[in-house]
Amino acid sequence: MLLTYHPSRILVQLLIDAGLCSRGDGSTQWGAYYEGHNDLPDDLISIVGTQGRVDSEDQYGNVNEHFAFQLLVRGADPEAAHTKIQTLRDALHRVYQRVVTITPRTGTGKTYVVHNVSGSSAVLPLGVDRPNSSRSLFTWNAYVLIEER
Amino acid sequence: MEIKGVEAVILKMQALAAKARLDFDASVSVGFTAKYALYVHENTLMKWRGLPRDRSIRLNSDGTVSTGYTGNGQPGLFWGPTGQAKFLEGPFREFEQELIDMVIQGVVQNKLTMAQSLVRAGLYLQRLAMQRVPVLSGNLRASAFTRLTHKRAADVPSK
Repeated sequence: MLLTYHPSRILVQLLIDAGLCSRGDGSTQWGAYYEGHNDLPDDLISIVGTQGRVDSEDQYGNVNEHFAFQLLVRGADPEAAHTKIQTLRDALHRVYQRVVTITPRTGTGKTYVVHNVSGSSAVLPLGVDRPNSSRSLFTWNAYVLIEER
Repeated sequence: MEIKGVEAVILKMQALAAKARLDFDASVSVGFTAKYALYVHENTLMKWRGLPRDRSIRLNSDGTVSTGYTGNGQPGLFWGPTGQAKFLEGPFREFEQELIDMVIQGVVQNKLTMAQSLVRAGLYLQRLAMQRVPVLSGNLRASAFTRLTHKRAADVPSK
């Protein structure tokens, strides 16, 4: 299955469409980033692709791949960050055949169907991001099945 | 007709069943005990990966980077020598089928018990994970463990 855009970018767009975050621009609180983020702002959401899982063939000869991702939330207030990641986790758990459109600045856009998201871990509290920092980190890992239309 | 020793046979069968149940209830855990293991494992950003820890080391004109112990206690590269995030989850997903085959092969072909076979697969996964751990002092890599537990040991009758 070929995806023109990275699964983490598609998931970020899904969260933006659901009104759970804004696009990360380096200053907005709870902005969402994909495949890397900067040191600022303090409160942010980041999605990074991790090692997925290739399923066996279905009856039509199609091989589906479950992409894996890590959802990371960083926040100056640990309680707010924990609440945020739980909200995002619950929202992603409820995803069922959600249509997401990626519209680039140039070129043609693509439409995707995000079939489902299944978690592979509990929310993991990582502590603070540096020894002298007060920003808390939380992660959640999951699989997602995405189809390009 | 009288059959002698039935009681003894039943007791023996019960003991064998209990042993088999205990054996097949075995589970193995592979992990790292270092307090910062989870942080490093989940740190997918891997900032400065491949850059020298000693900032005085610069890229050479021929494209090579001078590395190695520099005398200030900061040897090598960030995330070096072959470290990466998800150092345990990664090889588990990558070698999942191989690990399952290893457990089955151990029990069926090599006549190991389930517990022995699980430990063998666990140690193999531990070795794969240790190869992907970033090394600074070696504490994280040295904290790897493989532990055998019997989930229902308390439920198994004593006789």
